[in-house]
Amino acid sequence: MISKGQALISTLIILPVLIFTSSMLYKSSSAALYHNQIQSSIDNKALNILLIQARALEALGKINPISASIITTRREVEKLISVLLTTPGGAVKVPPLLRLRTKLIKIQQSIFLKQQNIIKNSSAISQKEAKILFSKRFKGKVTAEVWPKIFKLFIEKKDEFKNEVGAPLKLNSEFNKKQNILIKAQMQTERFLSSFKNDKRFENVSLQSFAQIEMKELEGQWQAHLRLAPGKAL
Amino acid sequence: MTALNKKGQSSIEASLSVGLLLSVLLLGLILASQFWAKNILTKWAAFHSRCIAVEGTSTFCELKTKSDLKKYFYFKDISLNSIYFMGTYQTKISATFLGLKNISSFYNYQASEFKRTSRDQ
Repeated sequence: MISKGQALISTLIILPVLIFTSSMLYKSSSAALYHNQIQSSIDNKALNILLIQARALEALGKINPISASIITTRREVEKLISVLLTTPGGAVKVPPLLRLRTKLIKIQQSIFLKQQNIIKNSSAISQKEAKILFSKRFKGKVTAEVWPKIFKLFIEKKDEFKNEVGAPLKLNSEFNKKQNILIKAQMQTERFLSSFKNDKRFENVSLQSFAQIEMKELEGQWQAHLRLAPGKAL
Repeated sequence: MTALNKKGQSSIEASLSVGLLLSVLLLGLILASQFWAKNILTKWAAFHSRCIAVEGTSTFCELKTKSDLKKYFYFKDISLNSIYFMGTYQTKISATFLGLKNISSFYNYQASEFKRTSRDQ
């Protein structure tokens, strides 16, 4: 039999121990869930940034046929002009063709401006999207870095239109290697676990998300997909 | 009632109260442990599903998930079952926790979590 005093003392000792253990379990399991949420958050962010770039590439692909036909038409007009200039009496027909040529060049210039707008907007919006990686609830718990630091589209002019303004574009040779994004996040260990530093379970958690755009040609279908970072484990 | 009887009764009452309190706390602790174990398994089920979606093969993912679970937490007899259906990777995972209880959990990893395609737009 135990006295009331003994009961009180044992309760006072056992109760805090049990409460502490329960709170450890609760916080540890919350941390496990944070881990998932942060992984999901950086995955989502990486895909969303690539989505902006993929949409820009898609828009540029849609302009390509128009751009190609304008340039081809202008070249035909120029050929016709040079033929007419060497033909007796053909010079009379040249002025309207010259006016047509000027108009076609203006269209080419506006296509060029449109292309530049798409490229610059995609870069600016991607940059803005990469600035806020996490919601406020993770403030102070996670630090993250994004690569590349400056977003750009790996495209170039098609070979047959190299010296043209507003030329149709294609994916360049570095596209598959460089049109990607890597986000590395460090999740801080909860403060209450810092005394268990020797235990690997309570170390800061490193998470990363690597995503790439798969696209065979600018006019074709695309897919933005999470991948294993080159030479890295998950 | 004699003074001796009174003393005995109050001692029994105290023992019962302590016993009751301890039982409730112990039960709470067991439930909290199970909740914790389930959360950990859910986390690793999510990890496994994501790994398969990203890696494209299950052998590496299964080995990593099992080894990490064994290494960092007190789980044994881990079994993993992953299926892909309609753009979703589902991983069911079950394990014996602290050698006592079999706990299981699952995670559905949607296609939108690991890819975006032009057809989605």
